[in-house]
Amino acid sequence: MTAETDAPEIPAPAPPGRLPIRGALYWSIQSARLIGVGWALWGCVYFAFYWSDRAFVVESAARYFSADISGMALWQHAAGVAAMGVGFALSLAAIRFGLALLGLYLAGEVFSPLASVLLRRAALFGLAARLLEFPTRPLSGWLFSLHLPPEKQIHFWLIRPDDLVILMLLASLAAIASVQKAAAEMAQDHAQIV
Amino acid sequence: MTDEITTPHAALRGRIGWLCRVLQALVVGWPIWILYIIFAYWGDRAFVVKKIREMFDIDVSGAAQFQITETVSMQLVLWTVLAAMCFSLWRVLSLYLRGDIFSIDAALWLRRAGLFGLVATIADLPSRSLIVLIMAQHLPESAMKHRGYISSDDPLHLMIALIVIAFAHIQKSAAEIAADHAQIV
Repeated sequence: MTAETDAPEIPAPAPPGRLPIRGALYWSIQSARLIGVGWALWGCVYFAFYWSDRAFVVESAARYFSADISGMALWQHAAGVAAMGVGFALSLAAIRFGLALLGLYLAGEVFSPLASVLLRRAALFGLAARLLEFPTRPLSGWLFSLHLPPEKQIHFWLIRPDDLVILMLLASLAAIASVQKAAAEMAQDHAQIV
Repeated sequence: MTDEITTPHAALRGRIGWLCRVLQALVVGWPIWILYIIFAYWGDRAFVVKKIREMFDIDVSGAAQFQITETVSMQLVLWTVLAAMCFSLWRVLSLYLRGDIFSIDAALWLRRAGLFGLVATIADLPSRSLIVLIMAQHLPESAMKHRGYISSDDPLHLMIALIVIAFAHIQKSAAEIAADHAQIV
């Protein structure tokens, strides 16, 4: 038996910028990934089965705006859905960057410049998506009802409390991205010194 | 030596300072806006009846005042959790603005913000069904066609709260590295 095999096993120190992912951190990341994938799929299904369904759009307009848009042309329906789709596409891009970031974290690469870039992109695309929804919501309603006389067309402006909290949290993530970038530089520096 | 340690943090503070100030305004303004909405919405009986008809297809025009009071009380309980989340975020931002960016204190307040956000989001889901049950308690069981809903924003709230909790853990490690780094330097 050699001295090497007798020696107690000492865990190797984590490489620079890496962090062991376990416990609450592991479960937070895994749950966030699962929800992100679920939300993206749900959004796609919603667009494919609901907004593309003319009857659903007509019923929604009657329910929320007391407007009869049953005479809506195909191009109006398509244009209204496309206007909403731009914001959703940006949301999907944000989710994609978020998932890439969480995947990087699960691999233990926490304090890396790439992680901070992905976080910044996820936050900025998310912010752009939500801000774009403010004009595209009324635009969709207007496009759906464009065949009606002006006084019967759908005109509304909607900013919900949920919008502000999402903007607030995404802006917080953008701030944290700068903090993470500094942390990555510090971890690199620290590893060189050690 | 002090300059060597504080200079990178000062640069970082300069980069995120304006964003922290905007966020501080939002974390103060948002709960006040929500509180205003709660009282403005539930104070207008005709509007409540109209909205509940639109959302749940139930006519609650015959609801008594105590039903509205109960619903408002429940909303206020939820609001205190949201206010606690905003206060925690305010503390994080204040620490960042003071330059305590890589500190255990900032990481702990960030974790509290994430946890309060998670609790608020999860509690919000059954609260919608509770609103229907409270407001329609004078109606027969068959009148309740819809008992709640899940908004497309709910999963986003959950996801962001979980990411904030994850960052709190990461920031704690960064704070430990920063302390270690400062000792070495």
